[in-house]
Amino acid sequence: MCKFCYKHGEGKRWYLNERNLSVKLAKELGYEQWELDHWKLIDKVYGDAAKMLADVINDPSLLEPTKKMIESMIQKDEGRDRVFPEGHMGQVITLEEAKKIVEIAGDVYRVMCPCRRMNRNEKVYTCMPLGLHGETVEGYVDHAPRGVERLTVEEAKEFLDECDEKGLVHTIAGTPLPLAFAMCNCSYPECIALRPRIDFDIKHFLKGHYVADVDIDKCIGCGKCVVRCQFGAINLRVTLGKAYINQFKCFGCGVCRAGCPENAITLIPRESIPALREVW
Amino acid sequence: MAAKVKVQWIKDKCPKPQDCGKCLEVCPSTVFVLVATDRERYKEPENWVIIPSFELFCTSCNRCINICPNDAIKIEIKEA
Repeated sequence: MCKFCYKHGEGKRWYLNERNLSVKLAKELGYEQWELDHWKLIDKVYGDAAKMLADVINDPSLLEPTKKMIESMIQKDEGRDRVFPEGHMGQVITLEEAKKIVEIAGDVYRVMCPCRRMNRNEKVYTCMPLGLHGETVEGYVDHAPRGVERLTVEEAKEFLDECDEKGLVHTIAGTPLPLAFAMCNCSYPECIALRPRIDFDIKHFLKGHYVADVDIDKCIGCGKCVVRCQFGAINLRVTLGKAYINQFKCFGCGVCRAGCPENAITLIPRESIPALREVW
Repeated sequence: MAAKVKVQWIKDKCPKPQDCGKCLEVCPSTVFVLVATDRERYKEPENWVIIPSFELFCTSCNRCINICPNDAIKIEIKEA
């Protein structure tokens, strides 16, 4: 079992523990002001931080030390706060887990995706803040032009299905652990969590608890999964006419599975593969 | 990975980036970030800027320059 689930999950995954999804925990930790600041400054913080990071990474000799410094800030055990959380800032989840979170939390909202707005000026509603985070979007007219939009459990599940069909990666954000404050339907490179992870390999954002696996006998080599994968983990052997998944690169989002016409792809638990157990 | 390209966005020439955003849409490397600097609760932000945060990944394909109606973007190529 992963160490964060061991510590915060009470026998389950950390994001399936009811306490970690509650407004009560957010208020106990005193995060009302942080939630407001998050909506206010999200694009500014990302724009400036990315610029600084890119400037540092310009110099190849500084790349490794910078990565180590950022990771050590995120992974420290004591004095955790929202800027430097303990462990990680979220991870990829599967559709089933996302639906379970909706059931447990019950308190799900929908707002305009701030990442796609800041990176593409695209106005799409894919971001699903939970609990207190969703309530506090009230008044931020450019994040929520429709006002605070609360989804029922059925609506939220339907919406998750829609996103899965489109090929968006479900993620859960938690800063600091164990408070899970938002569920998103992301895509690379617009997502501000996935982009630093993939482009700079900073492990602030982790892979999911599952990995995809192809049943070679069922695979017809149509290549639909290759197009859908956001992480470049699938590769079509043209001569063999089969898809192969590089499980070291796989984030376990299950987007390829949703696009497979033959249902040849399944998700298997990461723990069941010894070589991948510690690959996050 | 030494930077070869310097991307500049000129604020005076681009009065309303939030309504246009064409450079953001066409960029194949997602170099630009659109930022509201004066966001407050219950108020539409007015002051927006575009930061070329990821100029590291710029390939100088010039798509943003070609699509910009106001000539607000400049790309300089530095000799390494």
